[in-house]
Amino acid sequence: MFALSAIRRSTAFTIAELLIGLGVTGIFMAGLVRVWMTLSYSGMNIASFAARQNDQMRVFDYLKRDIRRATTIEIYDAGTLVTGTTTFGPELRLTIPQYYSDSREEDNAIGPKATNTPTVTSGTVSYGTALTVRYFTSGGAVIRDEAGAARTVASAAGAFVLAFKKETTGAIRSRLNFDQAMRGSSTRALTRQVDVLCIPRFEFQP
Amino acid sequence: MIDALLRMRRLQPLAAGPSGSTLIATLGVLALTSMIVATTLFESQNRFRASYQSSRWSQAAHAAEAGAELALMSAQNNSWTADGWSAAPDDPGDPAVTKTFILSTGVPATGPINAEVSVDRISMSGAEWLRIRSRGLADLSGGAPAGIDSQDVLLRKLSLRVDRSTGASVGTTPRAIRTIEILAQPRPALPFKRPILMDKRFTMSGGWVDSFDSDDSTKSTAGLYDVAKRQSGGTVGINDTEGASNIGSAFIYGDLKYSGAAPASTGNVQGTISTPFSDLISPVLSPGDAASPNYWTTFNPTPTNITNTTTLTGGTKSSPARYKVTSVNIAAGKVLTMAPHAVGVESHIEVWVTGDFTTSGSGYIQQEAGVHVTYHVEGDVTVSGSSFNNLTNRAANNIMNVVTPAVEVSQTVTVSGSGTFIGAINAPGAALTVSGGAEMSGAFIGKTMSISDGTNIHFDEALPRIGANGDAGYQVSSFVEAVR
Repeated sequence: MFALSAIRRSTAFTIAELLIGLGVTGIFMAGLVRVWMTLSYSGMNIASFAARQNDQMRVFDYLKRDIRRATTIEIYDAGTLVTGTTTFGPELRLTIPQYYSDSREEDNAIGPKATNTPTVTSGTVSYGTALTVRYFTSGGAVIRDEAGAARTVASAAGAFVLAFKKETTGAIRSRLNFDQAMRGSSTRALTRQVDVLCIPRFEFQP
Repeated sequence: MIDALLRMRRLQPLAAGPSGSTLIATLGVLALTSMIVATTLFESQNRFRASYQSSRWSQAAHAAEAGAELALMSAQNNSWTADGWSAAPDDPGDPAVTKTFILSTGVPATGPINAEVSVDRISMSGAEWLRIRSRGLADLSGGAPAGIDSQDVLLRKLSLRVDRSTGASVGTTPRAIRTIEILAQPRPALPFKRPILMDKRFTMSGGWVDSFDSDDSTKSTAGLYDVAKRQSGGTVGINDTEGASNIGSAFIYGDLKYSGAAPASTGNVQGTISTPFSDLISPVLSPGDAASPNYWTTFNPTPTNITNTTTLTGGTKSSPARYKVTSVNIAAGKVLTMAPHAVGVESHIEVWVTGDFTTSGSGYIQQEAGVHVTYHVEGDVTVSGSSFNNLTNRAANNIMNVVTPAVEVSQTVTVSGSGTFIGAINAPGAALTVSGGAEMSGAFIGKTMSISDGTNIHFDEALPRIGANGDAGYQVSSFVEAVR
């Protein structure tokens, strides 16, 4: 009897011990969860930032390609043509030769690739009926509209803002920034602004 | 013994419980951390790949443009075979000539970048143009996985398994391939691309500017301007309006292009009004200037000046008759006749006037059929609209080059009175004044220009085609990319 009661006394926890143990464990677990959540948010934010950078890169690749081959370039702000070399406008309108003879979107490579025969009128070369390509943002997404067919080329998650300006050199300055709310923070955001200058080929033509 | 057994029974479960929970918790944390790390690695690897593919895709475009420029260099110098091409491009319809340029040789830290270029000739607008197709190829390292974003795949269309343009397998060398097509137009021998090109201000009152084509019977009658066949190539270009240009409500059947302050009274411009505008106006050099592309080493010793009725006889195109005179002054009742060297043949005459060129009263120049005349005048020009009786009916056969003077020297070209002038005047350093209501068929290049009294200017669209056979080189007139 003596031995059994002695064992009970030496192996059981008191209420106080249990409460202290639970408290320490709780604090440790809370810290662990906090660290894990921070790591998770950090990982997600890094992934989001990389994705938005990728979106920016893609938009600029589109712009560089289309500006380079455009035959006319105009910048608009709420439907009004922006003139001069000091003011930015949020919409870019390009005229692009219709190289392919079908009516599919130019980037749609599935199907025939027959081309239009070039013609000359008053010294100007044209392929088919020229296409109007527009770049603008809608709801934070970057839209490329080719002859009325709009396609999202950068996600609305980035809350993108586009702006264009003609430089005195003839180059087109394209400015794109994203401003995406950070996960795990109500006050901070993932932001990045990039300007790219591109000179259209027609600037080198007489 | 009993104590030991009891201790084991009671203590063993206590020891086994906590150690199992810790292991599960550790494994859980490890799994979650691994997932985060794996996701980050996956993202970073794919973002790196997208970035790398984007840069190679851009380099492929640069390679394609470089290949086209290299072909253009061979075209400008007409050095096709010397530059390693199998031959020069042949007639329209013949197979293209090709060449591959390895552009990455000697460039550190880059993979293979090549340009495959093909060049052929096509007939357009009465001339043989060069069609240059150039494929830029930038090899991709790191295997052949496509990007994780479908928009990237749609844009770049990398040739990861097969060459998208030829359908051939790329083997173990995935590539970014961009293809461009450039159309290069043979440069005209003459600088006239539009009816009026002024370096400084331009003013006009009344009249109109339009165009016709002396080579096209649907756009002219017997090679002459016909208002019923009017064309809309009457574009006016002003490099700098100086804030003092005024279209005077004249009808411009073409565009108005300018730089500087907007010209006044442009209400009757039928085409587009646009700015900025800049077009190179090259100075005209004297035939006695060794830097001139038309440098004279020999000429006829007589006459030394022209003041009376005179006949100048032409020569062949390869050996034109050249006359150097101190002045030309054809007064009333006098005639300067430009005659062919044989009846019914094309004949060529060049006249270098080191002083002024003047006609007055009823004096005039009779230019016989088939005779091509080019004047090089170093002084002032004063003529009337009826001073030139150009029986060839072609502006391209009556060219007046007015040699550009030193900056501090003023120079004038004055055309007055009525009549019909068929010709073109290139006077980059001169102030042009046209009055009297003449009908002017041709083109004008000058420093400034003032047109009054309802004078009409009709641009001959045949002028830019004269001599456009590639001898004067090529100019790029179109650039497209085959994005599929």
